[in-house]
Amino acid sequence: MKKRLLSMILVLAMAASMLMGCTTGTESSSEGSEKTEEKAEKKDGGGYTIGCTVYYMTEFITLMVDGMEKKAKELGCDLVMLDAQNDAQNQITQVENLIAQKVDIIVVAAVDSDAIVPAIEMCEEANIPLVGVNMLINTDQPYHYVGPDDVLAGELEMQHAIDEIGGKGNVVILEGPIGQSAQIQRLEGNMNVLKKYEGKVELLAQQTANWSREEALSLVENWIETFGGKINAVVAQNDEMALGAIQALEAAGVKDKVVVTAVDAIKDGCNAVKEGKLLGTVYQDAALEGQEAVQKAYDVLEGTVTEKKLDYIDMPWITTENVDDLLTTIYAE
Amino acid sequence: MGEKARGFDKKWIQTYMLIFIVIGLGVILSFISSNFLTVTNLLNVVRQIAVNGILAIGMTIVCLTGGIDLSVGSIVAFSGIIAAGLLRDTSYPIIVVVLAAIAVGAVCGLYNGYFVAYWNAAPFVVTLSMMTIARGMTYVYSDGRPISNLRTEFLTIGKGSIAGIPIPTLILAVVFILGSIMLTKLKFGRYVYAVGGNENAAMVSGINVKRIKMMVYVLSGIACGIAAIILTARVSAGLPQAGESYELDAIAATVIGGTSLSGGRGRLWGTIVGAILLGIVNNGLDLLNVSSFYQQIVKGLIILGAILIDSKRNN
Repeated sequence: MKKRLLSMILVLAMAASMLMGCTTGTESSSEGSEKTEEKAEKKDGGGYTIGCTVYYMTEFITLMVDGMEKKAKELGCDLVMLDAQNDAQNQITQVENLIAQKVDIIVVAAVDSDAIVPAIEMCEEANIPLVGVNMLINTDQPYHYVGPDDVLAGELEMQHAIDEIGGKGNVVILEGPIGQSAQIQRLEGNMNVLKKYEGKVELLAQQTANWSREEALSLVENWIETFGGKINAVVAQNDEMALGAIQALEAAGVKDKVVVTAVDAIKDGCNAVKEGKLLGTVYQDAALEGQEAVQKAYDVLEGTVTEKKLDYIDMPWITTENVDDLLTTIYAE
Repeated sequence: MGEKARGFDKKWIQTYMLIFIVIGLGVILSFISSNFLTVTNLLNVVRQIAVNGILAIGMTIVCLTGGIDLSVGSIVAFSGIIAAGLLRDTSYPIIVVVLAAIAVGAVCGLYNGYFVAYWNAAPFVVTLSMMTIARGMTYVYSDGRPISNLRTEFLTIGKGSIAGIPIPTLILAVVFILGSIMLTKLKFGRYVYAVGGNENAAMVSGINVKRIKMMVYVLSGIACGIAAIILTARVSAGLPQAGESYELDAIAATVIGGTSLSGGRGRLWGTIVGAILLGIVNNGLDLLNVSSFYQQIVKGLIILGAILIDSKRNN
């Protein structure tokens, strides 16, 4: 009897836990459906429901989502925010769920540029417009997009690194995960600049460290072993990897002789710039990107934007001179 | 007599409790979200659970022998990338590509099974090794890049329907029926339960325990190959990082379905209901716009609830 009672209690607890999980949503959902009704009446006065699925809640995406929420509120729209947790299949699932939910428009930060292609078709069939954000979509068809100009970012970091070493010497490149749009484009930018210095600047090595500080640390340790003092500049395609490289260079006691540049301008990256360890980094304004994406979604729904094209946000170069602008605003305690 | 009646009563509750929970959850969801109980959405749910359902069927058969297969996610990625590669580089008919993917899964499963059965190595460790090997081979084969632009006929497997029912769901149904026949109607099934219940007794009674233990991993590998086809068709690309942590979802569905991780006890339909439960929770929380952070907590609590009930049942 006692056992049976116990198992019954467990069932209740389980059901309760599920209900609790649901109640959190109940309020927002009933709110949501009220808004949807309102929307039906005044379709042109805002009040749209914007569905969104992002690849993963990284620090960057969290900032971007903040920007999206702020903009959505400003425009009087509802935002349904889903996190695909780096699983391409899960993202397709979420697009299906958003379509079933009859949102007005879907904003996607793709887990994978290829694997998101079916979502375009699904949205077309459901007659729901789609806006890409942050990650390009690998398709020949035009589509709405707001994101970073990663080619420019790649050019900036390489150009500044080469300028700093006096236009000649040896560089190494730390790449993002091979095949991701940011890696492909930043590398394109890196190479655009390198080409101009053929014969003067040599590319000693290029390898992926998968955006990871730890992986970059051991990779650069190995490079220091292999190339000794020949490395003049480390061009990292993101801050995390640059920070790993800096650790390796410091441990080997050669940091003073090597220039490091990066992209992203996350908080740790900015601190490294301020300390003089990182020459500079390209700032991708996550919040601005989120705001622009929601603005674009709104404009598409309002009919003020009809042409499907790629919009790039500004990517400023951050050095000791302007790093405080970031550290005292978005990265202030 | 009283003992027996009580035992039956308890079993009855446990057997059907899961179904009640699923139905109850469905009712609750249809009240709080007007989008849940629509044909489109329910078709979405059954399409969405196909991959995990198929993996969980393989996992259940492995767990019935007291084993575990941690390599399923990686095998899915490996089979999927091979299928995508064949579609890109050759003009083989789709069926050949599908069979190749399944064969890749089976070979990976054979590796697991061989070392678990004939070297008496711990399943946890052997499949962990396959997990990293298969992932590594996936990266080697694909050079870390996705393989896309697959043929349209192939993509139909992921998004097409027959008589209104999504093809992935139909495949899941076929795998489920075949698995059920194997476990309940064939000698193989009896042996699987016997090996999981008491390995020594099974051996004494003349069952080729090693062969059975190897077979279950091969079956799990085959399930991975089938799941890989669906996954690849659904996302229209072979992805090197596909299937990461899918083994955990498969184990979750298995455990929620009432299969004991120590072997010998469990049923395939329980696993399917477990997969449906996870699918509904996932879909419902998406529809309700519940943050994924909470979704993970809810999923964890469900798994805990299931395992607690299981351990109570054992005592």
